[in-house]
Amino acid sequence: MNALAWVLAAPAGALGALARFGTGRVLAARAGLHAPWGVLAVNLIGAFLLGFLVGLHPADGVVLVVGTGFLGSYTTFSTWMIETDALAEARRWTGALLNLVVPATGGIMIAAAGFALGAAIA
Amino acid sequence: MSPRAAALLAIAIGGAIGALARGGIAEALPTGGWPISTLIVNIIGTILLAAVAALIAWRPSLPHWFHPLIAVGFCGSLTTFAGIQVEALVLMRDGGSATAVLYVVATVVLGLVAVVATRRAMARVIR
Repeated sequence: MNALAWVLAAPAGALGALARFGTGRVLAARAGLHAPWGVLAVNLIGAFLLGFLVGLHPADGVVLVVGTGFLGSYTTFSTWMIETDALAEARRWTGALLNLVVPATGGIMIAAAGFALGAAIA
Repeated sequence: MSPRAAALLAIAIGGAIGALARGGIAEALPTGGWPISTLIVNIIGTILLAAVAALIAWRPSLPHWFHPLIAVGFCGSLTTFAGIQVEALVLMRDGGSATAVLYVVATVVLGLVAVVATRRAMARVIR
């Protein structure tokens, strides 16, 4: 893997984290949607975009910077798990179950849709 | 530096390190077959985030940069969701739906076990 892509993966990861934080903030401020909606939104958007990127079959360096760096950091797993646990702890069982099943099943469908679109363009 | 600027800088630094750590672990581990490196970073990051959440609830006086740096930046970026879904897609193509479903279910079950186990362990350690 080329060195330049590794150098660029660091700021891409920083931007991904900031964009994730910003998406949560915007959803809360503009739409009044608080946890777990921010994580759900970034995860589904990110799954679509990563599917799209992989579908385009770009060079390895592009996958490392945009995919691993930016989109890998934009989406998150740890907060998703913490928030699901918090819903269950609050005995909001339906919410906890939906917060697990919707991203897990919807994520792969949305990634597949992104991949198909990317492959169609490429 | 304003607290807001410091928080954004902390998120950026944590995010850069988290992304490099995830990419580095993926590079170091053998590719092909079961996407073990994503599973590893996701579970480690989840354990760390659960521990940090317990620490912050225990000591709200922790420095302002602690949560943005470690939780939002590092743990958020070390772990990934898009990676799981695209890997599941590849597994579905190469190994069939059952392998893909098993991978996603195993990740989610281990992730939840990690949160609950860490939360309980931290409750015992910090009183």
